[in-house]
Amino acid sequence: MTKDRWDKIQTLFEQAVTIEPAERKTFLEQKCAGDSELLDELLSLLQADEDIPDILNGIAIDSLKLNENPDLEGKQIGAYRILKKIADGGMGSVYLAERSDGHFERRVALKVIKKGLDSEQVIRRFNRERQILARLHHPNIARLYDGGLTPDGRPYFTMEYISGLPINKYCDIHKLNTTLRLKLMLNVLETISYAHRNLIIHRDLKPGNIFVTDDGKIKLLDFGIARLLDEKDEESSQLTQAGHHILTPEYAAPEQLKSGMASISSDIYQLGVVLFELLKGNRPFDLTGKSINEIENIISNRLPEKLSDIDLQKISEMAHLRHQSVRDLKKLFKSDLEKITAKALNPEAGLRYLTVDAFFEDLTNFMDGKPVKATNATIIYRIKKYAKRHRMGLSVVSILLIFIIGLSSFYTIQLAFERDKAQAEAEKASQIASFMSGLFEIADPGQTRGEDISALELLDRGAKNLTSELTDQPEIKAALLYTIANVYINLGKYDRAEPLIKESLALRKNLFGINNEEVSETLSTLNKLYYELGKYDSSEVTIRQKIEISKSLHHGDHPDLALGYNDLAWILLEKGDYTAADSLNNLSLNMRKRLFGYESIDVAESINNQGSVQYAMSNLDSSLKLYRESLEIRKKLLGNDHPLVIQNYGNLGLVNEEKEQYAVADSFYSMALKMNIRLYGPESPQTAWSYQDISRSKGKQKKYGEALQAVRRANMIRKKTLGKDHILLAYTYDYQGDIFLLTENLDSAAIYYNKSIDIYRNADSSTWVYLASPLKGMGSILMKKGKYSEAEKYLREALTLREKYLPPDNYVIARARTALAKCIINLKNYNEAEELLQSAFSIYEKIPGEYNQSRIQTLETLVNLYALLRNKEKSLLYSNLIENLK
Amino acid sequence: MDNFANSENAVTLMLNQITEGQADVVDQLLPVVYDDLQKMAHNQLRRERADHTLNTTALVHEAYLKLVDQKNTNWKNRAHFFAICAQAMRRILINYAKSRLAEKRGSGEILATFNEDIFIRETRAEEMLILDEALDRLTQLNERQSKVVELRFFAGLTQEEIAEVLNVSVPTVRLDWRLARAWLSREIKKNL
Repeated sequence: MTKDRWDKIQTLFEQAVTIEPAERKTFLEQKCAGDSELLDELLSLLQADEDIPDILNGIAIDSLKLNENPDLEGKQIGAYRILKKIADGGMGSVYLAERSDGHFERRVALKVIKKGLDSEQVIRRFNRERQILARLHHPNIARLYDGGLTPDGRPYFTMEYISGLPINKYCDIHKLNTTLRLKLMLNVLETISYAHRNLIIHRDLKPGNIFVTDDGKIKLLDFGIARLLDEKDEESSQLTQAGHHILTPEYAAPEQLKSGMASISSDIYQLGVVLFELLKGNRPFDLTGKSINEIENIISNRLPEKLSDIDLQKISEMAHLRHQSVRDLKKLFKSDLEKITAKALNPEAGLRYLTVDAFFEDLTNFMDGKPVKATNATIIYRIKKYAKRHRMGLSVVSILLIFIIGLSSFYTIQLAFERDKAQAEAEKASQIASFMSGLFEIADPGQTRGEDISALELLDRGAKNLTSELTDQPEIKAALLYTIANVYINLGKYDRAEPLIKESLALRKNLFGINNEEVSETLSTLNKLYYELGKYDSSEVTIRQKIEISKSLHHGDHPDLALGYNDLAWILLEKGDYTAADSLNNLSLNMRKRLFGYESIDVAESINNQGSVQYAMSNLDSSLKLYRESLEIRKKLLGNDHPLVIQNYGNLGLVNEEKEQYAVADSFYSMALKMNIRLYGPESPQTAWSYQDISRSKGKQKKYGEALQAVRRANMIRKKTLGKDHILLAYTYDYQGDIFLLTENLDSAAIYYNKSIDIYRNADSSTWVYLASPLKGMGSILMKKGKYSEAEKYLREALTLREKYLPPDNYVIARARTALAKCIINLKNYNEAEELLQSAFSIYEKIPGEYNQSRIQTLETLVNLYALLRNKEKSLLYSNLIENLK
Repeated sequence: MDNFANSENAVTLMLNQITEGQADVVDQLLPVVYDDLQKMAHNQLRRERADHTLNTTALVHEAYLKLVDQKNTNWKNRAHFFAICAQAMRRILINYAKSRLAEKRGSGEILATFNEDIFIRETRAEEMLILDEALDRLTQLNERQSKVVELRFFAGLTQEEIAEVLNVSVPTVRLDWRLARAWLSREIKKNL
């Protein structure tokens, strides 16, 4: 470009910026007539003018600042005073802080998001860490205390303050010998195994995140990029694609660098690097000064350094520093320890240890002088092949493996403590392994003649095999039945889970007697199943059994017992026994306050449930208060984006809707919808709930178009996720019928009511209280068509159901009575109609101020009835009441 | 030379010579200003507490007060001094950005603490180098515009101060900055 040309550009640019953006193009086209190059240049400059990169909005020195964060030292955040900065992490800084509210003194680590990094995504990840910590209760994992917002609006949380050193530095400073190093490593493995059993993958294991306290205890830190195993790993690819800048490449497994894929296996690889470093003093690959791509290439394609590949000078120094002889060290490095590290560091994820427990076991074996176990290569090989062919099925396989981890760790513990039984228990563990191996064998194409086997079919085959196999090993059989049933439930295949879990329960009762932890655990799963299936009667029986077991196993307050009361209260609420639900819920709440303190997740749950009981009992104001109280605790402990917080929002919407505060209700609902989509995706059962809520509220506001749109979404999602016969679908079909009825679309309404009625009639009788609603809808349609005697049948059944399943003063009974009365007035059955209306009115009398729209309907029907009966006095009385209400 | 150059009088003398048209004196003055500013900038960059935008401006003004004899100077000297400061600051900060990127490529230690924060800072450093090269190209097209960028972006001067240094009107500075900024934005996006 020439100077002249640039001058021309400058002139036109300066003119263009003075006129309205919308007119600039026309202006320039005119000015640049024919010179399209000039025009393009100007347009691109004007576009650039609209989108200035951050760097040019500031000045140079600010962009190069080392620390862009305001210093918090000495500042007060919530109840904490900041003492000093301890660390700078990827998204936040960690400070040492002191609780300073005078109640009690406690030093904590306070983690706060960095200024300028508080984008939605970072905040989500930050809150995620908090949620994950809240899930983990283990002596070797830093405990979460509480959290909130800093005065300038950044999220923070506090956790246990750990004074100690990274594991490698600790070992060196304390001159630990190899055995002591391995012992520490076993503690680390045990802790990671615990996290895995809780479906949490750490993803960033390195000495800097594995601390040893001054008294020699392992403390695992920084779950900042950890993820839950039982959900889609959408973020992980971002972790790497956005520049690898969150992972620590030196400790990352090859697949983490390649695709961001993190799994149990990548944690095992990282533990392998840590073990290698603890033993040899350096990492298995020299990656100094290498780019991410180079690192990925090296660790994927080259073999790690051998432990034994070490020069004499280095090993002599090492021996001196660890108070060991050179000969011992040399022997160690040539031993099975080499095999163990090599196995953990295998570039092929499928060829590493399958579980952390297997890693642990091999290391234990080595330390006990036993041969390290040659891992069953065929099962790994098969899983690997299986996983390659069925990318979608992998999550199922992971869930399955997690449960197997649980099982084998149980046996590993047995192995360690009961030497005499060791042989038998090892036998059991290997039987489980061979059973699992059998499952994957089926998935081999050779066995299935090339047919594609889905993950679900794989499980089905496993379940089928179990019916005939292992009859002489009831304990293992029960454990496997339990495992597979849980996987089925996680996948929403309730019908398949039921026989398995029942058989497991029977076997375990037979083996261990009734009052036993394993029986209790099996009952929990069974209860979960019944609840999901809507079988509330069976659910109640199961929980009562669990409560009895808790009482016999523990004396006085116990979390299990509190949970039992809580669950029972909930079921009784579902069944309509509000008084019993209320008192059980209070029992649970008070026990939980004693056990966990007021500010705890459990107490927040109990308070929320109290709110639900109050709601069911039509005490809307106290319900509102309780939901708010629960919300406050949960937000404080869990952050904003948490399923339980969403639950509170939904509940608050519901109460406000019931109070006819629709604008407030709608804003709670749309908040919940947004959060659900963010947490679970657009097509999830949770999202369907939000759409259902929105639809109902819109309907009440007579915004039928919006209501219909939302309920259709809910139905579509439910059909996809829950299957076409699920009772929740019956619920939304019923509602869709209501909207059609309200918009006088009687034929469509009838179709949806009938769909709903069909599902309810085929469902568990404990859900029949809801059947009343579509029945009532059908009654209304028939009345509109003038078919009163047909309508009467539906309305009568609806009323009978409500009277049977609900407490006598519930307002929906009043509504059912009013509806039936309206119908039979047309059949000239005035006496019964009067009785019905009067008893409906007496229900409303007990709840003054609430449900005025329904109340007015009853009153209007009364006015009409007395007009028909020519009872002017009463007719006037009730119309006056209506006037007063309006 | 050192003793001579470090005194207030010497700087003021040199500024007077520049004002009188001895352009080559700039080459003598620049290293003096550079050394001084570098020390100050270094402290600024290492400092934990961030008061933001005022920093560079304060830096340059501080240098002016420190290096120039206030009694024997005039606004023309001041303008020249700022222009030299801006050049010096540009070199200092570009060197700083270069060393930061070299650090990233050379040391395993940085890699071990690879994090978002560092990533952002590295991106900034890369942007800075692209901007520096683009600014050289802009000088070929319109020297005044590139001076405006130097004075504003590297030395942190206000529009009024820039107008004074370049002896043009404030609206001219504003328009120069806007076009230069658009052009540089485009170059950064193209090359990053």
